[in-house]
Amino acid sequence: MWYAKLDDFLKAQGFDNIDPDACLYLLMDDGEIIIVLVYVDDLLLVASSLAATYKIKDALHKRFEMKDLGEAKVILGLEMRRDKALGTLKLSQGKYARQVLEKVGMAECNPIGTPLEVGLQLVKADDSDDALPYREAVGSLMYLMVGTRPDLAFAIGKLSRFVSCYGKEHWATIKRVLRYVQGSMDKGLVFDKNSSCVLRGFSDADWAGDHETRRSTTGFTFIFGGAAVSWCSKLQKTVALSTMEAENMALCEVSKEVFYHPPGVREGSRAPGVGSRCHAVARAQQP
Amino acid sequence: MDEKMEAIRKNKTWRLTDRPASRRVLKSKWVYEVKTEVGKNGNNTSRHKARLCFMWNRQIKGLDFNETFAPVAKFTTIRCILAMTAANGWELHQMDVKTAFLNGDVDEEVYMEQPDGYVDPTYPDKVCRLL
Repeated sequence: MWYAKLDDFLKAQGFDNIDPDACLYLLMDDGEIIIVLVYVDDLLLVASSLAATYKIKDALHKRFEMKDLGEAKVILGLEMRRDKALGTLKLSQGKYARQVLEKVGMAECNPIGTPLEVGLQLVKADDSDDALPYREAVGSLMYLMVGTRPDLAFAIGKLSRFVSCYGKEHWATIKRVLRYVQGSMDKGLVFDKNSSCVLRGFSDADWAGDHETRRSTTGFTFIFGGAAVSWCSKLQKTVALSTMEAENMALCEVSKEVFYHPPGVREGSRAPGVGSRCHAVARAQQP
Repeated sequence: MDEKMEAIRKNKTWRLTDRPASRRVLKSKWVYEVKTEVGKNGNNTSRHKARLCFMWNRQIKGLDFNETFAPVAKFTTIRCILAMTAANGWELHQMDVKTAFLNGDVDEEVYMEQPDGYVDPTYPDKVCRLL
């Protein structure tokens, strides 16, 4: 397998595999740091100096047939734009968002300021209207949400519960989300060098926000280096009897999520419960 | 197509062998794609891509293969690395592997018919053993 060969090669070069999901390699040598991130056949090389970058590139060229793409611009459809003078790195999916709008024939729609109406309640339709490309739209927006858009998490979380029982009402709702995307296409995550590099987790929960099932929705996000690195919005599995219980369930989700961040990032992380009525403070500690 | 066959040969993807008696021999297919690219001078150029696909879908788990794995980084990991890159002013470069699959080794014995249009004239009855 390709991965086995690459793994052997990187380990022979002195790299350590430091990620629980096997894609992250780290080499510290003479005060230089080189990080290699593997995505099937795409490699992202991060190094503390240009010399170190060329060192690893040369080694890779010798061993494999590789194409050097220079400074990283796009990975998995995420566009990276750097401003070295300001020390910022912006991650956005404007091109992808534009394609999604074109695909559903909404390239010229009027923008709107929010993704959903406040307090919107949706109920399952009896029959799905197969003529509407609802599932495609949810799926396309999902990739946007997962990549760079935490602001879409709640709306997509809600709409994706209806992929097998949607009607006109759901379609109208997703069109509103698309109009919101129209007005915020090039928005993304901006990491900058002057922001804190302590991983901070925030969680909140509504209480019985879903009127049909009385279940609550958890929301959380982790901020690192000035922007969100992970986020989630999902319906809780059981009914919470109080706001406190709902908040605690949310807190539990954040604490679990801490361990999905790469080591080096998660050490010293803080996860204060910032829910309106919740005063619990959880400290996620490295085991 | 010739370019692809050259890459396949160079990577020692397979070796011609006699047809095995006790193993299944799978087929392959050429898949074509026309790619339109905007060239450096702003003109549209179309490039014809050919891809030789081994029909893995006809394989049976446990008989023809045992494990599949591809390294996939999580978005969270990517974003954390980018945040650290910005914070420390590190260099950020990208590379891709020209033919990732041809760089792998197949542990199991897998046989394939010779690809259409590239049948060895001296040994038309032999089959390819994937390496």
